[in-house]
Amino acid sequence: MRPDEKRLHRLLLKLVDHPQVLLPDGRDGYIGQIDGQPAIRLPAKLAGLALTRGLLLSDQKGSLVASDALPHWLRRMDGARGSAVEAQTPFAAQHWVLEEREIFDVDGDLIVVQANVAESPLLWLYRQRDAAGDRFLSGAEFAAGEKFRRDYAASAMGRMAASNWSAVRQGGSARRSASADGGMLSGSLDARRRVMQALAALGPVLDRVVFSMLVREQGISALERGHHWPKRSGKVVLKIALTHLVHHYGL
Amino acid sequence: MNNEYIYRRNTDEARARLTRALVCFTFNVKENDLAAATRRNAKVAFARQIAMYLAHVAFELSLSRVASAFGRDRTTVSHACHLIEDRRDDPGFDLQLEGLERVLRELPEPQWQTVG
Repeated sequence: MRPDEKRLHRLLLKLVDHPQVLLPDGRDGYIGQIDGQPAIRLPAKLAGLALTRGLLLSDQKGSLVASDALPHWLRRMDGARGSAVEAQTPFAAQHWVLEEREIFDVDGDLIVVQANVAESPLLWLYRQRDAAGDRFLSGAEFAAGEKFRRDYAASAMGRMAASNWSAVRQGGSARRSASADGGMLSGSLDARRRVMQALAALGPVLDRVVFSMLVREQGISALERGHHWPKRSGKVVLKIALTHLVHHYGL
Repeated sequence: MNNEYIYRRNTDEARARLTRALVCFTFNVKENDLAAATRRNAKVAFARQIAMYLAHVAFELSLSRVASAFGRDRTTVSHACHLIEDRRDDPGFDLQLEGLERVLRELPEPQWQTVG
């Protein structure tokens, strides 16, 4: 990253917290005020850079305002300093919502990976709108699906056979970690009970639908092929399953 | 060489002296060490990088003008600017440099007689 870009990033970050206009300072640069005090000085060179990148727009009076592209650029710049994957694909990474997840790798070891929550099948389906602009899933149905997914993650059933040795490694704080694990255990048992009750309430076919969509995060078309359902029928089945979940959770 | 060039060069060097003095005052290093042709120790080298960065940022001099004012190579100044810009991710250091930047910016423009 060029130092100019980095400087621009640092200066424009302040602008986001205090939305405002930058006024010309009479020396080709621009001044931004925070709480009545001049706080940001954008030299002519950096202002030119921001204008050519479309991060700032000049209005009729010759002052600068933030453009719609600015937040996206800031996200990309943050990504460039983030993980290696984000740095490699900054334009894709600006749309990610990353979350840590524990999965088994090919050797059967439990590893922690970064998952992009923004591309879960449920969220994707929730984002879809028909021609009239209505959502296919209601907010309650989406919330029920998310609740099920969270419960499953908390129940730690995905790693039923694995022992948790992380507390042992920490050494020194043995007593504290023991109590923390005890708390986690009862929490995960509760979550597990909720998952089992929800699956029981769904019944024999719909429980599989919910499981493969929300836990395994398989696509809808894979589900349709697996059950030999007609094309584009999967999301209707999923909606029925989610409606059952809404009733079960009482949302 | 025309007068304007000499004038610019003189004011650039004066700005470099001023920046060095400010950095020496703030970071407790000797001005002789900072202006030396050799690196000296890490503390001095870091202070020199701060001085070159400040001259570039606060006076808006190009990298090559900073380089000739400090008697260093252009790429040395570029490296210093990269390094200091990265260090400014640390909020404490950022605040400190912001203060120094402001001090240098608020100074009046030099009003010298053009050298004959």
